[in-house]
Amino acid sequence: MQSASKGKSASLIDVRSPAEFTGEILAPPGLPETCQRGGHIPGARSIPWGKAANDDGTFKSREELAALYGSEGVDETRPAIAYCRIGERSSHSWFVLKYLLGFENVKNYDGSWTEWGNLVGVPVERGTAQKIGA
Amino acid sequence: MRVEEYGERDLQVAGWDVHLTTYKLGDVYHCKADNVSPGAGLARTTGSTREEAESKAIERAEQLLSRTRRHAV
Repeated sequence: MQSASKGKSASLIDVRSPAEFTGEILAPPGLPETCQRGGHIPGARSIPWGKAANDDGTFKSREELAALYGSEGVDETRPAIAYCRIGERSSHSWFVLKYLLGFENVKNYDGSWTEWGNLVGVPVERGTAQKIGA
Repeated sequence: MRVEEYGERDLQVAGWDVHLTTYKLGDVYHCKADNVSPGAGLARTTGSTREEAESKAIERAEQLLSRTRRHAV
């Protein structure tokens, strides 16, 4: 994850809520705060997991999903790594990328923010993400 | 047994959005409170009345939600 973040060798997808992404909260409301620091992995894009679903709980169409991820610079030309707080929500996004969009190289960072947010010496970015290309 | 008097509603608890799902199964009312986003369950309670089950769920949800701190970004 550190090399992917530093070298921009993979698309990092943060699927938590926007408030968790910015660092405003450390965990979903009412759940245990399992990290020391708030924020996100530098270079990660914020694409909350629920955006892959319609209001009735069904998955969005392939075209809609490609547009959702593509708008954040995530496509099948680069490896993709999804993460959340404990790897549960990101497993949903991993499924979408792997089996609905057919990306070959997709991983779920099982340590997720509970690991990264407690690691000593790793960079943490707070606030909103940098614009693509900035 | 079949579910009766099924209902859902949204409310704010300790400054956070909460979704309540309540229904009757046999003689017991069941209530589940979740935190809307990401929809994680905060409390599952029972009671002899809808009000009792819901008040227990709201009380437990308030205990948990009041621990969630907002940080300056």
